[in-house]
Amino acid sequence: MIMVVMVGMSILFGALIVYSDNFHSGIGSSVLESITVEDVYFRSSTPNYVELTLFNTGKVDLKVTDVYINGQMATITAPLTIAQGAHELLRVTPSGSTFTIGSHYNFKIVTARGTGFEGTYIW
Amino acid sequence: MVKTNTPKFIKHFIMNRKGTAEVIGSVLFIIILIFAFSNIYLWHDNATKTMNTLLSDKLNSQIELHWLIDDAGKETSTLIVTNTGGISTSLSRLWIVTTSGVHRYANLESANGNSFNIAAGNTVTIVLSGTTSPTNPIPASWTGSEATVSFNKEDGETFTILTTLGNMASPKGLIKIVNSGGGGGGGTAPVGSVIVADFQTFSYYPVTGQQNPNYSIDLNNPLNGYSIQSTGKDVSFSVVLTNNDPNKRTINLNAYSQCSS
Repeated sequence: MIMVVMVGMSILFGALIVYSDNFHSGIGSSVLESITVEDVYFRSSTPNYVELTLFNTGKVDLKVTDVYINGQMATITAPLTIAQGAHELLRVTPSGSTFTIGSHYNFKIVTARGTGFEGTYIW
Repeated sequence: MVKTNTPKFIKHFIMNRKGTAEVIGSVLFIIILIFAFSNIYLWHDNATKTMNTLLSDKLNSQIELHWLIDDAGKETSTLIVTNTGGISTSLSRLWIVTTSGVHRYANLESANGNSFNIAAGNTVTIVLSGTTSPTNPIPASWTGSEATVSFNKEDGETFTILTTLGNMASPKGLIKIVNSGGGGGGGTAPVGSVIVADFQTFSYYPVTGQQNPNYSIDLNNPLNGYSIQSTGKDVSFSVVLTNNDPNKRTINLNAYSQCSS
């Protein structure tokens, strides 16, 4: 019986270690994420799109998975991984609408860990 | 044979092996639980402290950007970057939006860690000279407290500086480098414009009547100060002025004060 308990507790301990590691590298690290939107470049081509230059000012590498414009999910070319301290360009195309000069647009950038960064910009 | 005086119920308790596994299991379970919670809590606490330090550093390394003016009061192609915070910071990029709306940038940090640093409270300059670069990044170099960006400045362009901590700033106005003189230990020191006008509040009021004291000013109907229609006539205008003297001295304006542009 003691042997069964020891084996059981070993499995439990291992499972908790795995969970802890996953937490540290996963959603737990969301507090270490930080993005600065250093440039917003509205392009007037057809269809028009916007180029966001993102600067990872956080303490971990991050992956941008989704971008929302005025609450509507926009299209990005592919999930963008930004290393710590790196600058990357993200091309975002609004879905179902176009940009208009002089209008305000609220961008929400969401990472794979679930962190959201918001900012409003004017073309 | 030695006979002990241990009570019988204690002997029975010690010798009884029933439930040993449950006791060991419970103790191990509690230990593992405490380990797991403390591991996650301490890690999260450390991560939060790390980000708090980062945020604190960011707040304590704010920068200001001004255009340098020459002795004639004319704007030059030199940007003055001042670290108004209490800790040093490094510049990352200078963003330029050209008059045709094209976005360009110059890298002010290098891969080998030779960043363009500004110590706390210090000032550095960025000289814009050369030809307009058609591609990103615009070539830039720096030594000491001066950087050179190969870009030909024109009216109507916008400039934004970015630090490695994510602070951003655009030019707030003009600044003049003055010699502080021998009495202050020599050297040069930057001073901002002593009086700053907030042109968001710039309004003008039509004036009727001829010569003082026969003027009549309609103060209830301010008009846009940027499109004065009645040329050649007396005008009255208002604008909010801010005393920007770093020593917080009082500036007295009276009827003899003159405004020039």
